[in-house]
Amino acid sequence: MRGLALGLSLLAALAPMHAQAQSAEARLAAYAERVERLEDEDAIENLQATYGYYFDKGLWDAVADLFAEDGSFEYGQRGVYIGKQRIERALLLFGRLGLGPGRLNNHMQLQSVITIAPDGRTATARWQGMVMLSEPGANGVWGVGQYENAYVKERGIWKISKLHFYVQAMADYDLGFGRGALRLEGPSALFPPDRPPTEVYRAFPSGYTPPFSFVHPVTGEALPVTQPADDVARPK
Amino acid sequence: MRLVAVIAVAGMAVAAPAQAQGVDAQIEALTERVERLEGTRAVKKLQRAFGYYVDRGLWGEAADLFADDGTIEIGIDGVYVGKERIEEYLRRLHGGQQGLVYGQLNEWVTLQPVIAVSPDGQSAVARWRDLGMLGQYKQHAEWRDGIYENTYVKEEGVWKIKDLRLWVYFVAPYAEGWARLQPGEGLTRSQASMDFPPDRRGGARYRSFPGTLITPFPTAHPVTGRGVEEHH
Repeated sequence: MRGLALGLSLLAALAPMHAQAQSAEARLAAYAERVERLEDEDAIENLQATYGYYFDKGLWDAVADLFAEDGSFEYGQRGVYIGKQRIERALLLFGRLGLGPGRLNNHMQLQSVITIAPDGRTATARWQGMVMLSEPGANGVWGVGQYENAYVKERGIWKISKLHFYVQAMADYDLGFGRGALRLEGPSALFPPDRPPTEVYRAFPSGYTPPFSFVHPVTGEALPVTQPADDVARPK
Repeated sequence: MRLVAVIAVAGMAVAAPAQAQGVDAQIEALTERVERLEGTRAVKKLQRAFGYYVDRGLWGEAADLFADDGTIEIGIDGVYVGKERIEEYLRRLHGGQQGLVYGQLNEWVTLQPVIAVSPDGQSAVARWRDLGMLGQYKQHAEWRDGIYENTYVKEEGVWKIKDLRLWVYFVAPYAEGWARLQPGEGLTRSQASMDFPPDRRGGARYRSFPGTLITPFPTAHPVTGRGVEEHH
């Protein structure tokens, strides 16, 4: 890496007029790429926010259509569903199409950190997901977690290639986070996932750090994450 | 420069439109794209500023974010047209005074934008999520859940709110939560709207939570390009 950098700076020293010497065409092409990366970020922000709005309302067919053909969906400890058809059916585990009366399924999509690959064909993003739930005859539920997602641009259109919601905490509304922490649901027996959970963990009051898709914005380093010991999943 | 000409000719020969464009045309096209990117950011600032101003009871500043013929419609309160009417409506909606009173909580948290700037860069539509934390200390406290479906317009280079529509899905008491709301409880017409009637009736009445409300999506499905209802 250092050798490359040295080589580049040497090159720059030998050709100090490099940028100016570029043709207007080449400079425009470079600008166009930078503009396209900004457009990509906006498109991904819209895509993921739209996912949330559709998911809120149980528009499962529209949700599934946001995924690439071989896209994957993973929510908490429910396991991984692969492919649009499988995802659409798995989404029915969250309520019927269009939801029913008395069902609240709010999944906010907040606080994005989006990273577009240098070639502009793929991207990753982390999002904060606050959750408000309810179903008839039961207490309300508050939840929170983080998304670590991947995206792919196919024929100019961004799609979700991987959605992974790391549910961090779920709590009974009346008791609150301090007293009413709920366990995560495991894989469905009704419609088992294609793969078990990619990472096993317990929600709050245990803590789990979803690995970061983005490098540290200042140091440029990837962050190593250390997960807490767990008597069953990660004994000391 | 001659090289550019050669490239341009070569581009035309293979009928690739991007390369065939002259430098000026390419700059023009790039500028339009950058202006749309700037538009997205201006719309974000505008709507977030609205939230911050209303949070603190700055009704005039909030109203000044609107175009002269701008409109506001909240819940089932009807439509108020023009800056003066918008300012007065916002003031009355919050007790009639400038600013907030002691113990008044009025957080209009504004989240999750989906923004589409028009191809000509002169207007935009956006959807936002509203999370309201409302109340009066020692008296009452509420959560509000809603969806904004708004339009914006760029006038002489300045982005403004054209139409603000907040679909209030529910206002739920903090202590009981949303899960105990009975039909009709989550959405009522404000006293402000009754004392200071709107300029025109709003859209059709709709069902608040625990009913099912799917507010119309102003933008097409980002992948299929179809309307959302066509997915059923």
